[in-house]
Amino acid sequence: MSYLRQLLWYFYKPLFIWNLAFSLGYLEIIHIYGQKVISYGFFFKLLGYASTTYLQSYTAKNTYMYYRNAGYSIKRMYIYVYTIDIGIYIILLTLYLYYA
Amino acid sequence: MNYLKVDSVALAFNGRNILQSVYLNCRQGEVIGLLGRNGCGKSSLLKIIFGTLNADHKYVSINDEFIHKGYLNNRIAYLPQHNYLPAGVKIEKLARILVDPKLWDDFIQIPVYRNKFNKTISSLSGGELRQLETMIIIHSRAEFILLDEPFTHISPIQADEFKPVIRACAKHKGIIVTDHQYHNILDVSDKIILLTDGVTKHLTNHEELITYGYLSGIN
Repeated sequence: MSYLRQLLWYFYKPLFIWNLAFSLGYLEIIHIYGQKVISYGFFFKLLGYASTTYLQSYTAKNTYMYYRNAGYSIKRMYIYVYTIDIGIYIILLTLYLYYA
Repeated sequence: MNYLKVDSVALAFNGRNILQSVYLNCRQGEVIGLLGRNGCGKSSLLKIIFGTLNADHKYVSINDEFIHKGYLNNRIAYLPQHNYLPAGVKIEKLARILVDPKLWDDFIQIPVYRNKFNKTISSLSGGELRQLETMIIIHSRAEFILLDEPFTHISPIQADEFKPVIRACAKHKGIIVTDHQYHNILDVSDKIILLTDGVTKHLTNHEELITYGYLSGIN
């Protein structure tokens, strides 16, 4: 458990830029079309998660064994990192709506 | 002393039975050598024990406690045939997560680690990376270690360096090792199991490898 934060970062690192791009991309869509499209945000994020999961399982599947040998399932790693990512997205959205 | 029990494993692909009557038992302090021809299901069996391949039927237990996925909570570690360390992270950071703190002082004496610990895996040659990955798994926190072809892609002298390390770690762990370099397997193992026609044969002497058609002769 003491190494979980490190493991999550190693797992999240290759996905971070991609997911951040989806978050910022959607904030730009809200900026252009207004707050009426906010409700579509989570669908947009889900699309991002599906594509990053596919990308990761295609390009970095071999490294899954590293996380399993650390005692964690891959499903659990994805749940953790996407929970963190959705938290980042909500913070960015809140900041945007506050300052917009 | 902990013991791993694998029983009644059945696996079929496209109607072809790969594994049908598999039984093996591994105690801590023991090295089991698993031999078999190409495609006989050795790697599949290790993946089933580790929990990354679903069998049609299996019973895997540690101390008679059923284990669904061996890797959860560091019960079992597995060296796959492919490279598994993530890129872009210093080797020391990667190793600290997997290596058993009790074995850390032994682990840091390993030349490939000592020379490259503050670099990333991109600085290693293929042989060095394989050696490092194998050593990390052998020194991992798990009670049982599964090694899938640890002697492949390394030089004979590196293989000779591995064997005493495997023996030393087997004092505290149970190890199941498979490779086509049968000499190395015979050298390092306490017991030999031959996987043939989906069935495990527990050999009592090396000549049985000829009897069962795995070898034409022993040098």
